[in-house]
This record gives sequence, C-alpha cells and structure tokens, in this order.
Amino acid sequence: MGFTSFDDLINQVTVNGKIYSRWLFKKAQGTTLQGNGIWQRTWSLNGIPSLGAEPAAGSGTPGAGGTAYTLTAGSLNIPDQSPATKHVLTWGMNGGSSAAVADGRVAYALQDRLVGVGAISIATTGSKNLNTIALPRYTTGAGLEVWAEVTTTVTGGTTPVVHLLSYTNSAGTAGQVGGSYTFPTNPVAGSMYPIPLADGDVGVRSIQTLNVDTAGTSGVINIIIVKQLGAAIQGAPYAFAPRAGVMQLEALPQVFDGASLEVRFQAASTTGIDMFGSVVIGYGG
Amino acid sequence: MDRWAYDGGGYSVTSVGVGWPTYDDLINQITVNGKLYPATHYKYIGAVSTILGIHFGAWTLTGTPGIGVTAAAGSGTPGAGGTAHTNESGSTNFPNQSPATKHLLTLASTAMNTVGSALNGTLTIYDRLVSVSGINMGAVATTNINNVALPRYTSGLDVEAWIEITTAVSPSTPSVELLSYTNELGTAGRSGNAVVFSTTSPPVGTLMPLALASGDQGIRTVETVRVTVSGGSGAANLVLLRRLACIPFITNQINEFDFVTQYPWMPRIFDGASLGYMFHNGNSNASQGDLVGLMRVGYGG
Repeated sequence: MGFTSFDDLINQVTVNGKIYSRWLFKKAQGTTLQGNGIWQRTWSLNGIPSLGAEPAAGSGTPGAGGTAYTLTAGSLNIPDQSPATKHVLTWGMNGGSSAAVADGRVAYALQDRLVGVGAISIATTGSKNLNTIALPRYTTGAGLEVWAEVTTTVTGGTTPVVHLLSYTNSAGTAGQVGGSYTFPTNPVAGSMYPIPLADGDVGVRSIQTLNVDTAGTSGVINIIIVKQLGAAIQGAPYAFAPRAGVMQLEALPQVFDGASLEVRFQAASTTGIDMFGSVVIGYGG
Repeated sequence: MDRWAYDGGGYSVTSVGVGWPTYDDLINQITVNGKLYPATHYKYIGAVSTILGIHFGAWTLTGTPGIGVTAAAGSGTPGAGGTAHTNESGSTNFPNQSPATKHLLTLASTAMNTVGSALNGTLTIYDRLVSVSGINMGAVATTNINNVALPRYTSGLDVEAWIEITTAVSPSTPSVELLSYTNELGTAGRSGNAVVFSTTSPPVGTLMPLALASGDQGIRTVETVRVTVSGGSGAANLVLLRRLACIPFITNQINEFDFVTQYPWMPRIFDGASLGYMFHNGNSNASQGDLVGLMRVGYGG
C-alpha cells in the first residue's frame, strides 16, 4: 500500500502524519580519506546517527557468517509499517571541510546495509570463508552490490587484489566467480571499493568465499552486501544537494521494513569533511 | 516508552493532524480562505562567516527577526536549567492554529554579497526548543545542564544538541561531548563521543552538533556536557533543536524550494515553534553581505 495519487500523498503526510524526516550529521573532518574518486563509508563515523558496530566474522558453515542488518544501531532506520510501503520522498546532503572548497565536491549515495562480514585479513593470500548469513531483505539478491570496506589501513606501499571466489547469484546459481579488484596503494581505513560480479550477473544472494590474490603488508576489510536506493547525488561544496522522489528523478524508491540505511560518499580529496543531510520517507495505506 | 508511540508533540511519528486532504484543498485554503503566512528573513552576516565549512547561527545577529533572547544558565537541579522557547522573541513564529496543522510550503533565500566572491552554502531552518547558557569553553570541565522540559517533540525523537559559541574561543580547537543525557526512549545516563570543532578559535555564532550514543535517535534531556579539550577561552550555549528544512543558496541569486510538488516534504511547523536560521558557510571573505529570503507556511482545517 503506497500512495494512490499525489492527492493521497499530501493527505497521508499532512492529515495522517505518515512521514519521517530524519536528519544526519557525520564527522569526517580530522580523518584522512583515500582521495579523489574513492568511496568512503560513514558507518564508522561519529555523529547522528552515531557509529555502527563492525560485523561478525565469516564462518566455515554455510549461512552462518557475518551479521544481517535489521533496524541496526548506527543506521538511519524507521519503524516497520507493513502492509503500508515506505518510500523516499526526498533526501539531500551538504558537506565540506574548513580547509579547501574543493574538498566538498563529493557524491553521496543512500543504501540499505543488508549483510556484512568482518575481520577479513588481506595481509595473507588465499581463500577466506565468508558463508554469509541470509539476506534480511531483497532475498533473491537482485540488484545487490558487494563492497569491501577497509577497517585497518594497509601499509607498506602494497596494492592488494581480491576477487569473489565463490558466490550465489540472484538466479540461485552457486559457484559463481567474480572479477578481480585491485585496491589503490595503501588503502586507508574507511575507504570502500566495489567488488565485481561475474559477467552476466545482476545481483548476489550469498557469498561463500573471497580470495586474496595479492596480499597487502597489513590490512583488514569487511565485505558488505548493500542495495543502493535511487541514484547518487552530486554535491556542491557546502550547498545542500537534494533529490526529489516523486516528481523528479527517483520514482519513489521503497524503503523496506527493517531497512538499515546509511550514506556513502565519493571523496574529492584526502581531507575529511563534515556532512549533513536529511532523508524524508513517507508511507500510505 | 515506545520510541514510536505518538507523544502528542513529535513529528516523525504517526500523528493525526488537519492538513490538506488534496492538492486542490491546499490551493483552496490558501487562496479562498487565506490560510497562509509569509515570513521574510533578513540577517546581516557581516564578518562572522569567515571560516569555510562551519555552521553559523543567526540567533545573535541583527535583522528580521531581531536578535534572539539570551538563555538562562544550566542548573544542578533536574529539569530546571535553561530556557524553553515558545513563539520566542527573536524567532520566526506563527499564530497557533490547532487543530489545523501548519506546514512549510516554500523556502527561499539568497546571500547578497557586495564583493563578488562566491557565498555558496546551505540555509537550514530549525525549531529552537531549549537553550542553556554558561558552558565555559576555556577549561576542561563538566557543566550541569539539566534542561527544562522540551516544549515540542517531547519524546526527544530527532531532537539534536548543538553547541552555540556566545563568546569567541581562542586560541585552540575545543572538543565537547554529551557526558550524560536521556535519549528518546527515556533511557538516562547515555553519553556520546566527543566532537572536535572543525576550526581553531571558533567565533561567536559557530554551531557544532554533538554526537549521540550508538543506536540513539534523539535527546529528551541533557544532564551534563563536558569540554574534553579546552579552547583556551570562550563560552557557549547548548541548544536543543529540531532541524526542519534546508536549501542551498548561491551568491546574489535567489533560490527557492517548493516543498509540496518539487521536494514533497511539507515539514510541519508545530504551534509554538520558534524558528531559527543557520547556514553552512562556503566563503572565507570577511566582507560578507546579507542573508535574505522568504518562507511560506500554510495550514488547512
């Protein structure tokens, strides 16, 4: 049950109060980012909401590895409203540093954090068991992405390489092998990187193993599975950059019950920025 | 208390109001019944906005509305500290219309700049709920807050705590934490990690949000705050507020958002709301101009 018309949307919001307007503040000033064009997570940053915990480690037992996220502390989350469906009406971000204007010329993406597996050492080569726990939402895996989050900085001038050694795609086909991803030199904690799927795949249901092809001198990562909600926002330094969900571009992306939302950002420099924003979610029914 | 239970004051919770059942009704209420309040703002920024990336508040600036009231100090007695704001002097505020609900329809602003340099940034309007003065930024110390009850958003959901510099800090970069607060669930004794100010020597008007504990989604009361790193000198208020809406502004260009059809947000303006202005600054030129704009608030019923 969404909105039957634009009139109904106005009615649900202004008469029935079926809207959540949630605000964000994430503090990355004082931290070092990987640099221009590299995505960074906000999950580990102080602010509103405050930082989330790292996920559990992988497992040798299928379906037992990592953490599934449902209304998880550290995320932006709102209560279940089933059978009504919740939708992003608008959201936006503004950010910048006190060092240079250009630091704030970043892109932002809103995503539902679904599953994470932590404590994966990339300081040694070879296969790492993940055996991810079942997806709490988007259970076929269609449209889901796999990202690596660096939680302990890699040192020593090394450039680790990893690939998905075995995963199950959104069609339920097991044993899929993804393409290799080469990290930049010395990826810093907080940076994050998209991990390729196999040719033809459009999503991932579970991950069995990750292979570290080339080790870093040090370094620990998470592997997370996420669903991006709508398109990313191109931010201008300090200036609020919004997206409209109804009339403009976004086609009212649905926020499922249990969603654990977070924002990631594509850095413009190595200088951390402070980020502010809002996510406005309405529902009908 | 259930985090999501309707408390009669919150928004972001399921609440029942008398808004507009249709877009046609909105037009009817505005044009036939005159249920619309326009409110202009003009704030002389002057030389306060000289630090990139910092939020500045307009509460202490001259203009329209005028300078806001000074807050009372914190207290050692629970529920006795500071000043609650309801249709406060120095805020933008509107007559009560209960049971009708008021909603922001549009917000426009420009930053007029006489020197021609860029003044891009973000204007945020917020409902100023409680202010507490008397935080010494020049010493590592704990300050009693024990704020009076929130006049709106009484569960505390989505209520934030910001430090507002009232006497310039110098010469260091301070850090402040919520040492003890009660969250939106009514759980006392919560504490947030310290937040380091994003600039050395923050001037008067600087606003800096404080971090919550992991999992918390708002603040009902603050018992104590702690300056964990001294700024050397200076003083500050603790402000409990609810952000309502924001728009980008561009130097010498008016920028207006329609919160009905363009960005369907329609943030509610509760009876008693005391709206303040803050801006995320994108210019370091000391010869700044003015922040000038207009909001329109409508109501149904």
